[in-house]
Amino acid sequence: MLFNSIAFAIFLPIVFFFYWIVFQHNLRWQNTLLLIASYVFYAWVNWKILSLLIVTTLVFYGLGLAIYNAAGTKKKNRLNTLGILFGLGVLLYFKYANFFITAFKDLFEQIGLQTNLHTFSIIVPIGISFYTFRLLSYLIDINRGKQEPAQDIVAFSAYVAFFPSILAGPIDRPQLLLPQLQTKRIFDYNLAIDGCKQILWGLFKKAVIADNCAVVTNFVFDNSANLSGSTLLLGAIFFSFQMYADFSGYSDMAIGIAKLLGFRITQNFNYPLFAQNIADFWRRWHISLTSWLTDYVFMPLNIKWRDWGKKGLLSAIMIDFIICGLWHGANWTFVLWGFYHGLLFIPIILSDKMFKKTKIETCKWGFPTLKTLCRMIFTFFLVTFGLIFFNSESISSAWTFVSGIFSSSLFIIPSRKVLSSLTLCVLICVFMFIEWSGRNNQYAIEFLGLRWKKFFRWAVYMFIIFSIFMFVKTKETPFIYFQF
Amino acid sequence: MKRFIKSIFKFALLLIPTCFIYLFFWGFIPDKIKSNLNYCLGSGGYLYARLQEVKNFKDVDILFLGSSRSYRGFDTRIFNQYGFYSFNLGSSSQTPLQTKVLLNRYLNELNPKLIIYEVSPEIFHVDGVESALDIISNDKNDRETIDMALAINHIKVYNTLCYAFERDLLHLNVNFHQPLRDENDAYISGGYVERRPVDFSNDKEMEDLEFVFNEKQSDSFREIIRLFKKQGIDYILVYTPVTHDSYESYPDNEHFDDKMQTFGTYYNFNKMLNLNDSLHFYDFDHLNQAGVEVFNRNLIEKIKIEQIICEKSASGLSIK
Repeated sequence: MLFNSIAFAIFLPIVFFFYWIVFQHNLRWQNTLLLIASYVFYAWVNWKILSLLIVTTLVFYGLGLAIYNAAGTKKKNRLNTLGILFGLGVLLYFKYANFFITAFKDLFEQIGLQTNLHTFSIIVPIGISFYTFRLLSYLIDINRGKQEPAQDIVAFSAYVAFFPSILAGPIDRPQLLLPQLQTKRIFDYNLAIDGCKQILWGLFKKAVIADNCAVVTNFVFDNSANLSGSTLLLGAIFFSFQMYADFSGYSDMAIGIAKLLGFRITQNFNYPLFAQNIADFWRRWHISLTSWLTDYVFMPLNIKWRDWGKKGLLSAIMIDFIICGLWHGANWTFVLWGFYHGLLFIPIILSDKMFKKTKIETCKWGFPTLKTLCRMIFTFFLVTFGLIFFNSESISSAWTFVSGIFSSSLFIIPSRKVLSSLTLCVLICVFMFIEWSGRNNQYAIEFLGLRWKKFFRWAVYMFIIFSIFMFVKTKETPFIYFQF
Repeated sequence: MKRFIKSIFKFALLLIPTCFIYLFFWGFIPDKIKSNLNYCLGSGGYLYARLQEVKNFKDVDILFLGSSRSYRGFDTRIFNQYGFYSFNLGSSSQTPLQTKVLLNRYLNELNPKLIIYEVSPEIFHVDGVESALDIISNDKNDRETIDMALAINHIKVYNTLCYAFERDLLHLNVNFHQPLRDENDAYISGGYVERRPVDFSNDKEMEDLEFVFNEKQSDSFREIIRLFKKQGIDYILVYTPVTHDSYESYPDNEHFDDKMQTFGTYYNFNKMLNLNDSLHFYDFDHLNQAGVEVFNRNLIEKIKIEQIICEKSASGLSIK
């Protein structure tokens, strides 16, 4: 089910009604309802994929208890390894089996060996990367002694399948969400209103910015071989905005829906378009994945290789980002995208700025200083360049795109179709202004107009809704991150 | 909880009138930025002028229906020369969903003896948004229009319909007068639109289109045919001439012909006439005046030979 669909607009109020009005005083019933709602939500597109989620949940529930109750570190570690292998095995089989088979086949064929390898006909369960990572962190944290296993299977299953975030994150850690599921929830008016506002802003980002950018970017990426460099460049820039608005829009909606149900979940974005270097960007972009990879991949490797100095740090970063790329999808373009981001860290590591937090400097008018603005634009273009690989079907098409940009046609007038997207440019400018104004908050309109009279504040919210009606595309368009 | 539900309820209640206020002001911003509001009063197809004029037409001999291929393809002056009092009720991209609305509004007054209905695979293929916007902007809006909007179910149609209701309510169109000529076209009394002589332009790239019958359009088409039969009105279905490339862009024309023949008398003039792109068309889909002359005279001869219509007598058009 898509958040931006009519079905969900009916589904959410029904869940809300039963959750807060019918089962308000019964935690177990609330969790059961949440679990059923999550399964209905997840199985809406294809019920067959639900069985895998249930089986995986049960296995990890059992393993969690087994690790906790196991006598001796050795046994705990063995069970932990078993769980990790199971989780990764499921992920590898459903998401990467065909990728690796094709890769081996190509490799063997290149050295002149004929193989009899065949790809499988597999349905890739949506959200598998998200819930597998959620389950892995649960198990690893129990083994590390950071987390107690869940005793209540309903609460645990609801944590894994939590419908606001199962399809595209945020990847919530058990320490944050599980205790909330095990505690009696009291309706909080301010939290619910805050949630409504965040849903509204997320929907605006998705329906108004991302989907309108998609019209241009789909055209540019589908016809990249025949378009001028200037058109390709504009298409790539629009894709950066689309990507941010689409994914952060989804995250905002997920967080907002969770707030409506009385939960606080992980913030996933912190205005990455205002990042001043690539390390700063990754502190602001897909925070839940970055922190997951930092805790479970980067840190262990960095500790292991600490004796190697900067070389060790660099190696850990490269592996971290290649895994990050591969997590996004079974395609060499994602691997290359991850590798590219790893490379971008080299100058930062060499200049010891890796862990240095950057502050946004502003002039007296409230806008960024020229130096800050230049850094932001430079970082934006670095990210945009990487996203060309991210959004291309193959490395060769990405290469066509990139070589198209760096050709003499970069200096000719862009395609009429892209140039005529005047409305989109206006929308992006308004959007960026609002984002800039609200950059110190969790989401841009969090405190918008709070000091104003209610009438004016509501008028602004209503205008946001109105603008969604005015710019939304009629066809429901899935979120980009659903494919991961 | 009560406070929350009360707030949401209040907000939802205020949202509707507020959006109507915003919509009113939104109507004043440049068309390029409006996006999902497409109010096209006095549009290029001269529907406004046509619907102003239709009120003066009664008991016509022939009524033409269909898309721009109809109002640019059936020249009422030529039919008048043969003594047939006719009116062209075509509108831009008109699909059966819109034909039904127009017929419900004007058929009884026009009371035609024969209906010539322009058909093509395209009218069953498209969603009908363009034509719906044309009708909403240029005609009155009532229950019929709401039903049409619900059938199309497109945000642009809903927004434009709400805006049209506002304009109707505030009588904003009262002083509107559509000029009957522009640099390309001239509106001819009786609903025909004549394109000034221009060279054939082939700047549109034709793509092969999958021929899919849209269920809603098909249902509306069947309802229209039932209405003709119920009212005892003779009708013929005509696939007007288009350029060779445009015709071939639908790979399944044979199937379409077979399908149309099941509904009644049907002529595919793409098979019956051999027209030349640069001599008889001004673009891929539309005949120029020379093409219209050839087509219309052939059509009249055809229906006379087939004895669907006879020469006009003192008692009016005689139908077989």
